[in-house]
Amino acid sequence: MGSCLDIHFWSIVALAALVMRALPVRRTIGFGLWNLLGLAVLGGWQLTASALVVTGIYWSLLRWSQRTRYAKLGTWAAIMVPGLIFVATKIGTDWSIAHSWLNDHPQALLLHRVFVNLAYSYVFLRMIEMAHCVIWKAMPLLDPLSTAGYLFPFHMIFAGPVNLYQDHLKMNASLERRDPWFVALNGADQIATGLIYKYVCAEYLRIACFGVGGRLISASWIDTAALIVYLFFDFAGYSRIMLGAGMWMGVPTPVNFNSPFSATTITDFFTRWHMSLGAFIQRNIFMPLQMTLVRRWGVRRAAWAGVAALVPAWAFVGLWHRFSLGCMVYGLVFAAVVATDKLMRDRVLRQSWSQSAAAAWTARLLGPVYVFVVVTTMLHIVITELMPA
Amino acid sequence: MTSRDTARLTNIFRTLFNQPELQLRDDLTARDVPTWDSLNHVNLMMYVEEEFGVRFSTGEVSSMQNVGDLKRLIDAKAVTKQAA
Repeated sequence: MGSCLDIHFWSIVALAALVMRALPVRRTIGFGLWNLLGLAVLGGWQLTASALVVTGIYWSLLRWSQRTRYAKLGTWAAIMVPGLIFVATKIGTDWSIAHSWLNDHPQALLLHRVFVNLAYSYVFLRMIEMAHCVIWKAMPLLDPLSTAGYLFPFHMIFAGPVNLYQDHLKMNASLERRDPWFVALNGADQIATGLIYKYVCAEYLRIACFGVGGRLISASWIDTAALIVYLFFDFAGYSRIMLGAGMWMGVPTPVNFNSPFSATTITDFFTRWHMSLGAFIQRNIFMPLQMTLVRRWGVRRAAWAGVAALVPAWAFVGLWHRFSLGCMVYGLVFAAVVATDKLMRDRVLRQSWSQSAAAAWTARLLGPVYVFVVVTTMLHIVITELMPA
Repeated sequence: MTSRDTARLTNIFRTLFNQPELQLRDDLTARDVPTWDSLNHVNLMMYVEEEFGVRFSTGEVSSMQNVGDLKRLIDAKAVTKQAA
C-alpha cells in the first residue's frame, strides 16, 4: 500500500481522473465511491470495512451533535472518542509495558493494528478537523459516503497530508472547469518532481550515507544532518506525488513542504516543513488558545500569551512523534527555542541597522545555515528516543 | 471603510510591527512585513478587536490573507453590530 510505484495505485488514479468528471453525482460522492474501490484494491477488504465502520460511527456522532437534545453529548463524543483512541493507540505502540500486554491479548492486538494503520493515515486529525468545522464553524455535514472519502482518501492514507474539511466541501461548490491539459501537466510536474525527490535524491543519499540496505541510525551530528535531508527528500517527494495524484483526480490535496531549508528563522522553518500538520496544530491548538489568553490577559500581554500558547502546541508535536515523557520534554524545549528565536528576532528588527540592505542579505545568506544547525542539533539530541538503535 | 478607520488600522500595523513608515495596501500580506509572523498575526487581530470593538472567530483569524480581507471583515462586523 505504501509504494508510490504501485501500478494498481496509478491505474486507479488515472481512471479516477477520467471517470470522476463524468459521474452524474456530486463530486464528493463520486470520489467517495471511487475511493472505496481504491481502498479495497490497495489495502484489502479489511481496511475498507474498517474505514466504513469507523466512518459510520463517526458520522453518527457528528449527526448527533447537531440535534439539540443530544448536542452536548454528541459534541463531547465527537472529540473524545477519536482523541482517546488515538492516545490508546500511541500508548500501545510506544510503551513497552502496553506492548507486552497486547502480545498476550491477540484480539486487542488485532484492534490495535487496525488503529495503528488508521493513525498513520492521519484519520484522527481529520476527524478532529471535521468536528471543529461541523460543530463550531457550523459547516454542513457531508453524507456518509463523502465523509469516508474525506477521512480515508486512498491517495493520502499512507502518510497524509492532513487535508482541510472546508476544501473537501468546496469540491461540490466549485463549478469551474479548468483546462484539462493544464491540470494534467501541472499534476505530472508534481509527480515527476516527487518521484525524483523520493527515488533519486533520497535513495542516493541513503545509500551514500547509510549503505545499501543500511538502517537509518545516527551515530554523529553529521549522520543526523544527512538524516534530516534524507527525511525531507523522502517525505516531500511522497507529498508531491500525492499532490499530483490529487490534482489529476480533482481532490483537494494540500502542499506539505515549501523549501524548508531556505527558511531564515525557526518559526519560518516550521511553516514550510510538514505544513499540513503545522497548520492543523495552528488552527486547532495554538490559535484558539492564543486568542483565549490574549482576551483574558489583555493585548498588553499578547507576547506572553503567544509564548504560553506555544507550550501545549509543541507538547503535542513531541507526543505526536512518540508518546513518551522524553519526547514531550523535547517538544517543550523546542517551544522555548521557537520563543527565544522569535523574541530575539523581534528585538533585532527593532534596531535601525536591521533595515539596511546589507543586514537583509546577511540574514538571507546566514539564516538558512543557522536554522539548519539548530534544527539538526535539536533532532540529534532526541534521535535515540525517536529512532532507537 | 472610512479614512479615519483606515488611519486607526494603519496605526495598529505600524505600532505592532514596528514599521513607522508602513503604508497599508489592500494586497499587503504577511510576506511583505518581516515581523508579521504566525505569532503576531493573532496579536494583530486582537489589537483590531480592541480598537474597533468587534470579535473574530478562529476561522476568520486563520482565513485572513491580506489587509483587504481584514478591512472587509471589519466592515462586515461593524454592519452586524449596528444592526444588532
